[in-house]
Amino acid sequence: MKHVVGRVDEFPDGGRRIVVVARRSIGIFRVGDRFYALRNRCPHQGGPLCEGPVQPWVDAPAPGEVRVRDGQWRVACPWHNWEYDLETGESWFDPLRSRVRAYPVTVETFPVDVEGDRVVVELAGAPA
Amino acid sequence: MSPHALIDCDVHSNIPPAELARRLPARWRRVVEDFGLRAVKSNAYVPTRPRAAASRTDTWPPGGGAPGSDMPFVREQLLDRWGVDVAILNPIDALDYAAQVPALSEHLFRALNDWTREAWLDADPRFRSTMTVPFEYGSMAVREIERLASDDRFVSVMLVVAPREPLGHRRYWDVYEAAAGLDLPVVVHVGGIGNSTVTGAGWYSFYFEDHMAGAHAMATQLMSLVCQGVFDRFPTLKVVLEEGGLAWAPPLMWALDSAWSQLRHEVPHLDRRPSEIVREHFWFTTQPIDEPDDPAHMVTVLEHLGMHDRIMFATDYPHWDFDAPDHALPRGLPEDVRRAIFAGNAADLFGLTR
Amino acid sequence: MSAPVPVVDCDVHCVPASIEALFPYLDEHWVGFIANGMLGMPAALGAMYPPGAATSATAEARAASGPPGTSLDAVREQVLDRHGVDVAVLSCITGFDAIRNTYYGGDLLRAVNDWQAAEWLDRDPRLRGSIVVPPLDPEAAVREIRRLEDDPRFVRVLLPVRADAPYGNRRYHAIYAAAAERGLAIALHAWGLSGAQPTPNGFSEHYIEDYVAHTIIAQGHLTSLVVEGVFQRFGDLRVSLLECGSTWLPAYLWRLDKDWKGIRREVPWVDRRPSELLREHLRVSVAPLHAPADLEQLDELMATLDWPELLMFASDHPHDHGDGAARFLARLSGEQRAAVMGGNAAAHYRLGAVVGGRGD
Repeated sequence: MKHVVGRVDEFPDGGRRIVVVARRSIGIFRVGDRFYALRNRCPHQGGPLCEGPVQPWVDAPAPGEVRVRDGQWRVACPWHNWEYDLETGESWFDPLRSRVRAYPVTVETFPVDVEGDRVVVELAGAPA
Repeated sequence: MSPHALIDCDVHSNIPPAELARRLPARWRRVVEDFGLRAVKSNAYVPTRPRAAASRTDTWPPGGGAPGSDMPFVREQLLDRWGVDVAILNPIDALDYAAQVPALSEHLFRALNDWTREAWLDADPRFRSTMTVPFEYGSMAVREIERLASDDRFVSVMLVVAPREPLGHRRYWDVYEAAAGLDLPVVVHVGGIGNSTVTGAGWYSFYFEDHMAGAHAMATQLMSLVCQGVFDRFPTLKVVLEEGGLAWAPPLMWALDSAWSQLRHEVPHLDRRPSEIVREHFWFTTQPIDEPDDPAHMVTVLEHLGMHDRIMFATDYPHWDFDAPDHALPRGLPEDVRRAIFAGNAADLFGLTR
Repeated sequence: MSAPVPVVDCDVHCVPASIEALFPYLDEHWVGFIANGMLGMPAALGAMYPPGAATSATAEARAASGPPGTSLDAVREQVLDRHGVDVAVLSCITGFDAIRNTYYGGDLLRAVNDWQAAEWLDRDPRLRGSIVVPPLDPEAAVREIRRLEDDPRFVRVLLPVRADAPYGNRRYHAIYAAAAERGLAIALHAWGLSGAQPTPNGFSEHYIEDYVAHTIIAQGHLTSLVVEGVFQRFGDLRVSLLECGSTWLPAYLWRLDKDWKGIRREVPWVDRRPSELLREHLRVSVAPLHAPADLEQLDELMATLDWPELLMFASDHPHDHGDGAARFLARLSGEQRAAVMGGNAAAHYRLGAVVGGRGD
């Protein structure tokens, strides 16, 4: 089921907002023209995941040689710093078993009497 | 029977610089302002910790100041949020103060305890605190313990896991004598400046290693306290190991027992198995809780430890490795054990029966 | 299938009875220096294995001729023949690797390697050797590894766990490169003599504390190896941990994996779960095995760790750590026994086709 969570201009680039949709706290992130939505509850101990810092992932082919992986964004839980992919909701350390629900997010244009594009989050019909 | 359901045995307050300054005599205030505190903590050598102030990012008070410095914010974010009945403070600044020159050390600890009283204990009946004392200087520490003794909101005496000497060393025995005499437990908390690295094998390179070493340091201090005969000399002394975790303890006790069975004539004051001494004199706080893939393994470890009446819940708020009360304990613990860990054991140890 | 199960003893001590025993292998100027200064085996050796401590030697080893650990005959009778050992890997702990004059210490260590080859390896084909090197002088250590590269009986490089820096530190990487190139394992062995403080928190005051402390110090080394990326740089490197216990492994690995999840950004090159890295690269000897009095607890502990591939049999002759290891080994199933008694070590040290009987 689709839910409008706000106007596009209410989501600054590089920022995020926490919204409540169908009784779920969800973090909406904007990076450039892309939007992401994750359940705002860390799978580890229930922390406010979507309030944490967002950074691109890094890897290192050898000790001391660190590369930033542009375009691969992760949010770190404010508590234990466990990181989850903005797009898939998967943790990097255990993608199958430690993951958070990621929701499809789109930008949609509405009929002429509503000003500006809207950010739309889609939740599955059944409870998460 | 404890009236409480949730006691948090390890909460870190943090004194704002202005609050410290106004409680110091002018001469020492100036020294601290001009020269700072002389302390190079072990983790100053490994500054690449991922979190500022080693804290959760959401614990910085909206009104400014460091995590743990704003009592109303702590009260709301921790006590009210989780329904904490009693929060026992371990003022984090104590980790630095012990390393100062004696006279300054004495003033610093006094100021810290006074601030704790005014800003926390007087402000909300749910707070208790450890006594922070200049434990490197026995007679000074005893003076401060005696000064605070009549205030039963101070429930323990604090030492650190990385002091100048191993904790079994004689230089700390005055503190043990005073604490035991007042039936106050001694809490040993991770941190301190020590004068050696915590690995036993030189300096590490990363904060990761520093964080892992908390457990190793605790284990070594446990050995020191037991083997140096502290409990032979102070048969009523109680020691709480805080923030070191606890799954390392059963194998260490097995190793000590095994070694003692062969080497006991070196330590004749150990007239019974070291594991028995541990079970008589030690308590552990839970954080950072060990998290095997299968939580049942942690239940097994707790059974091996055999100290269900001496394990006490702690969050370590505001630090990043904080344990949330509703998630930290492994599934599969019997309900009476959970209740004991969450409140009953701490209530018994610290006399929190009201 | 009745292929015999190899028996590999991964920690058998040998030590010269006196420093004079090394004279045939030592430069002439040192011989004179030692004689004139009345230098001997390091005092540290007596601190590591005090003659009067029960753990330093079994009654049987004491009864053999010469100080415990000096007799090949005793090793044959009390270890090799008794247990049907196909291969025994020697550990020559002398304390020379803690000497800070690394010209002296390094030359003595070189002499120990030559003595080891001539008076042990040459005399029994079941024996393999550890190259002893000065960790305080990595360049000299590398030279020594290269000097012995044509002797396939040396299967590992021995380092003491009490050190100036944890073993992941970059100062040691040249040693690992040299070892990995030649297919040698690295063995971290209890003792040595640290420069300043032998415990994490200052000078301990009892031998019993130092004895148990290896179980703790070893863990710092493993963390260091992991977080410094040693296994990324040297993907082929194998590490043995000897005489440092093993029952601490489950709790340690849990904590290591947990911390990795939150601290990875500090060490992004650690791209696999630390416990997996260690499972792949590390093997641990069973002597001492600090078993609980209740062996069911040991079973329960081992069930928390997928352990059979990790452990290696060791007599640790002439030392005596009680019966923990024997009690543990007695409970193993056939397949577990095969792995621990020799399969794991044979693979770890790449011993090749190790016969399942008396070595020929």
